[in-house]
Formats: sequence, structure tokens, C-alpha cells
Amino acid sequence: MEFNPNTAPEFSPSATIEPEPEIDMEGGVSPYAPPEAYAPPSKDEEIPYENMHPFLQEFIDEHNAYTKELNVFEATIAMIEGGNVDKTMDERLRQFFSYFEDKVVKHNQDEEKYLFPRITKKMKAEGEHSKSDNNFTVIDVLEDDHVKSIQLASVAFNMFALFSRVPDERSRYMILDIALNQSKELLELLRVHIFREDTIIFTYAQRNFSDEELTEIQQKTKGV
Amino acid sequence: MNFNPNTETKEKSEIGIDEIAYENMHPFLQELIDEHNVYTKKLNAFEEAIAIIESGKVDKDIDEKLRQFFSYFDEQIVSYDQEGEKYLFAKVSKKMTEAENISIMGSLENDHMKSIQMAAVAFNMLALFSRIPDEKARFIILDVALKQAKELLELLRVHIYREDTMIFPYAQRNFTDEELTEIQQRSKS
Repeated sequence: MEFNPNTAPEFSPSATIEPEPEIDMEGGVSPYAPPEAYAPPSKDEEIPYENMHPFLQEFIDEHNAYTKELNVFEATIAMIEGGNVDKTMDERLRQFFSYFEDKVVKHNQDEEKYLFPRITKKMKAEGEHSKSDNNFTVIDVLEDDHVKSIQLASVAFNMFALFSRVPDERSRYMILDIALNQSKELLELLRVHIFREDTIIFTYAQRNFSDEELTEIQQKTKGV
Repeated sequence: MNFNPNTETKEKSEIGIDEIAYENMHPFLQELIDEHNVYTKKLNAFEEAIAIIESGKVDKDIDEKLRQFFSYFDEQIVSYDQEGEKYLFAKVSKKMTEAENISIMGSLENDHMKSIQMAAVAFNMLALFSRIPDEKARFIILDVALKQAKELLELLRVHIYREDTMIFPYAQRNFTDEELTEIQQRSKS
């Protein structure tokens, strides 16, 4: 991906930097975290982190690191919306998109390669699939999220890059509007996705696989 | 820009295997090659549409051609890639050495991700192009869209070439007919 704004765009009439908005995800304050998505009807009882297999704990730890990056990205988006577009914002955007490409995509690939196929097999065998399509499980939804997140991140990233290259102000605002909308959709998608994996998929894996099976899957991810 | 597979790829140096004639392939691999042939026709139509846009023609007919390609990409190619990765790549990966895995399978999986990124950017830039009022800005956007579209074409063509001439022959040589039939059945289940 290429994101290389030549100079810091200056559409803000004020050169002063506003204080960073506080975002309290824990309290559900964020507009990018729809509350109904966090209470799915088929959610099993949660399993505390300390009772999870180390392999699943690793995925949860990655999600926690990932959530911190999302919070910073959300604050950046809010500041840009508030009129601050400067080199600091540019750097923060770069950091998020680099993190997404280097860490998040790799995390998703590991899930798709090693954990998801085993869960899909188990779910299909136990009849935990869509009522209208025996081949459709919650894993298909999560894999679709992975593809959508790549699409949203690419478009947002390239729109931010384009924004600084276009001289016409009206056109620039239209481009910025798309970049911000795609970023917000990305934030919402990733947050609900993390929640679903933490509370549905990892819980399912913990309940339905033995410790030996989970260790075996973990070893495969490490190439053992 | 060169839309043909580059010389290095043509030499198939990474795993150094000879091609196997289509009729000697297992029906599962033939099916995958047939899908690639359909896919190549769609790429050719897309390339023509891009060339027409470059020559200055942007009308409803071209818009329809672009829509057709991107719909096909979203509905067929993305899911085809996921199935390929899931069933065949996973098995091929197990047979290969670690070095082969990193260089070949890693690069093919990377292609899938890159193609999703490029298609998303090209599609959205082309959609944006018609909405932008300023002519200079429109041309900048069109330029980005066309560049991404050409890179996508090049990537997908090289990707198909690599799968047809390296991965499928590798699978044909390294799996028994029974194993390939089993993979085929799993990919349809």
C-alpha cells in the first residue's frame, strides 16, 4: 500500500492542536460500537481468560494489543473530523495502517489456516450451521469480515493519500469524507469481529477441543 | 506496463518442475484450470475496458463492463481463492519443504490479499471519478484507478500462471489420484 502525502495538508483554519478526545470503549461510549452487536442471542457463557488454553490466550492477547491500536486510530479519526490534519495525524494514520498490514492480516491468516478449519469441521459435524445452508457456519461470517476489513483499510488508506494530492478544495472534502466513512466502518467491523471471536469462537474452541488438540493446533501455527 | 508473466516466473525456477499436459491432470486439477480459463476471459474483457477508458471513452457501456468485472471478482474470484487456499494449498503446503513454503505458498497467499486490496481501491476510485466536480482532481483520481487496475491485471495473470504451471503440476506429481479425489470431495462438501 502507498500512503505518502507530500506535505501536511492544511485545511484547518487554526494551527493549534486540539486536545485528543477521550474514547471510552469499555463504557460503550463509542459510536462505532453498536450495543446490539454485543449481545448475540446464541452467545454461550463466557470462559475466564485464565481458564483458556495458552493457544487461545495468545489470540486474546493479540486482540488486546489490536484493540489499543484501534482506540488510537479512532482518536485520530475524531481529531481529523475536528479539523486537525497535520503531520502528527499523518504519522498516526501511517502507524495504524502499517500495524494493520503487518500484524492484523497475519493474525487473520493464522486463524484461517489453523484454527478455523478445525472449528468448521466440528460445527458441521455437530449440526451447528445455518438452517438454510448446511455448509454455512459462523466461521464463514468471520472469514468474510477478514476480506471486508482488507478492502475497507485499503480504500481508507488510499483515500487519505489521495486527499493530500488533490488541489481543489471541494473535491478534497469529498475524498476526506469517503476516507473517514471507510475508517469508521473499519473500526466498527473490527470491534464487533474481535468481540465475536473472543466470546463465541475461542469459547467454542475451549469447550469443544481437548487440551491436546489445542496444543496440536498451536504447534502447527509455529511450524512444529 | 507488462501484463505478461515475467521471465523469471516463466523459468519456474523456484521448484523447477516441468509442465504436465492438461489431459494427464486429475479431474480436480482440470476443474481448477478450467476455472482459470474462464477467469482469464474476464481479465481480458477488463483489460479492454481499461484500454478504452485510457483512450478517453468513459460511458455507460464501459461502466457496465467495469461493474461486471468487479462483481465477478467479488463473487467468484475471492471465494475461489479462499477454497483453493483452504483445501489444495493446505495439502500442498504440507508436502513442501519449509523454504518452498515460504517462497512459493507465501507469495501466492500474499497475491490473494494484494488482489483484494487493489480491486477495492480501483473500484472505489472509478466510482469516485464520476462524482468529483473538478476536472484536474478527476484526472488524478482516474490515474490512480487505472494504475491500480493495471497492477491488478498483472498480478492476477502472473498468479494464474504460477498456479497452472507450478502448483497444479506439483500436486499432480506429489499426490495420488485417491488423495486428489479426497481433496476434491472436501472442497465441495
